[in-house]
Amino acid sequence: MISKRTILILMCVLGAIFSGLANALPFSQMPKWRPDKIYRSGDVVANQYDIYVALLPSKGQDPKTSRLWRKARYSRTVNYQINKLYIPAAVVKQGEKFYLALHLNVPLAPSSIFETRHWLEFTHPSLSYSLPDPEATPDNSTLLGKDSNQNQIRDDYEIAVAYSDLPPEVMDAALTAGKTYGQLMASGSTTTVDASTARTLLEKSVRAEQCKRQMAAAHGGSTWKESTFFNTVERVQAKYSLQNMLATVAGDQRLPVFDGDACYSLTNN
Amino acid sequence: MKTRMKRAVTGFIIGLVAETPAAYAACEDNVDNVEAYYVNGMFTDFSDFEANRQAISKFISGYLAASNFNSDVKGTHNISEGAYNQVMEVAKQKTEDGNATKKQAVLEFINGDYDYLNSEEGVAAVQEYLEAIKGAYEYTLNEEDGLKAKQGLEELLDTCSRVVMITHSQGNFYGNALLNGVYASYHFPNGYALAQFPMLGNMQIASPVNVPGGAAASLYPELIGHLTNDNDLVMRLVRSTRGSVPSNFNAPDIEADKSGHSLEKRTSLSMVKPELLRPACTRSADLLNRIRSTVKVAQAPQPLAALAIRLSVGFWISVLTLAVFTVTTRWTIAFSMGCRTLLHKAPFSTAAFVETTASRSSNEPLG
Repeated sequence: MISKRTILILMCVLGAIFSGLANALPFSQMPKWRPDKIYRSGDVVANQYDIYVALLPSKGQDPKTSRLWRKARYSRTVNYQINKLYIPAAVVKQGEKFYLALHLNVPLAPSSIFETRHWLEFTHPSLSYSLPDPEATPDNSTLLGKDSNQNQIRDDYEIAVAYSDLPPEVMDAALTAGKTYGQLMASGSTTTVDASTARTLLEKSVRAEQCKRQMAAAHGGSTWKESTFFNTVERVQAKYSLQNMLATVAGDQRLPVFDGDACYSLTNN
Repeated sequence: MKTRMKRAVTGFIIGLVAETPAAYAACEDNVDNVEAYYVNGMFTDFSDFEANRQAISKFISGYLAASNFNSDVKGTHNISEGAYNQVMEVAKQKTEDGNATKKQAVLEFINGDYDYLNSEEGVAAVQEYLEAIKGAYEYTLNEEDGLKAKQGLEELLDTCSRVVMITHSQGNFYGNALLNGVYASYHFPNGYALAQFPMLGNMQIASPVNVPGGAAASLYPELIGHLTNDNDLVMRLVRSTRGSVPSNFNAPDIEADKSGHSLEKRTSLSMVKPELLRPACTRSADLLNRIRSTVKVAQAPQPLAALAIRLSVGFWISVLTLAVFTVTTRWTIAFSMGCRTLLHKAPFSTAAFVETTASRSSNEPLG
């Protein structure tokens, strides 16, 4: 017969496994702070670009300015250790996962991280991407805009995509498409574009469109909006006229029908 | 010098006489082939156009492989430069004057995004914008695009293939003009007028025009197909701005296209699994052959009706893909109805065309 002790151990192991399998709460799905709501200590809210943990009960206290809230410290992420004191809003990493401390606590065992009373598994855009400052004013006065982290994706587009509620796969594809859109815009300031370059860039633009549709089909309509990138009439005009220019330079030959994974092709070519 | 010229002229004439029947014979061989020619609507940039063209190609090779449809779809990117400049000017005014919601709605509309449809203010802003660009939206044949498209269609007709022009959204204004223009002037290489052997049809999708096909519709009603979803929200907006042909297809809501307007997503060109459709297509092709042999009519399917029926059936199928058990039945019924339509309405027989082409080409070669 199985002893009580064995059952208990089994339950603990299974509990640890299943709590470990719980999905991380994405930033986009965190509850937004509401001024009319009463919050208790350990509650978590999202406010614009950040996550806040309630230190004490409050109502109507703006997390951005109140001392009753503390901003999650994802910029100071540390590896999870037992027998160490963690303050509320501390962010720890265990394996590939990130956890937010909800209360002051000292984990005594590796499995303590699964105690949902003290810890919340979560994701935040800044944990996966090196993002530009989301509070910075976007530069919409030029076609190219600003790319402060120099990753070939315009800042405001990158931030909008990274903080959106798109599924991770769609988000990655949207950022890759953003690079293609940026290359299209940059072709406008290049003095000459030869036929081969024009054709390559056109093919990439078509692939970005096909990838967008592929993602919509795979994720129940969830895909990115081109208006996030082409967010001024001047940029929309440039999109149309630069593609027309590239098509003229590339010549009349039709592009071959592409039958593969458009997003894979977009990322790897 | 004179002798050399004489030789050259004689050689040219001999060459012409010797080559022409062969060329016509090759031409006749294509008479049952069907070519597709795609013309896009407004607010369709080159990458959208190209993605749509490729989607139609994949649709044909996936679902109509057993037919004579050539999956290498041709087309002209309708840039409508004059109209485009006007609509962008209006967009500039609207985005400068309007509040954030209105500005965003117009930007989404001109980018081909549809989130504005979720807010009343957004819908009102786009309606206002459409009202302001009404004149430009109805703009038909831009000289350069028009000539290019006409030339593209005529090159296909020169091969004696049947041609189905697939026009989408605002491109249907264009489709009407092209269809009537080509019917009025085109002659096959053997000298016969297209009007005599109507081998050009037009499948209009999400059409904002009053009469799909325009004047040609009264002469060749069976050559014009029209399919607008009843849940095409963009067409609803356009219809409320200008009188357009009513919707004629009871389409289900598709998550990948909440607007009901996109060519590829809405018509599910990319969403249906070919393996589910192929058996049905093959069965229907067999059915067509059985009907043909039973009534002993040597008529080829008339192109547009064929496409209209097959496409609309394709839509039905795609809509019903999840309920596989109902697909075969409905498709077969629709197709058999379509076959009867083809047999009774086909305006001329392939045999007659081949016969007249052959006699004309051997007796009266045209230089």
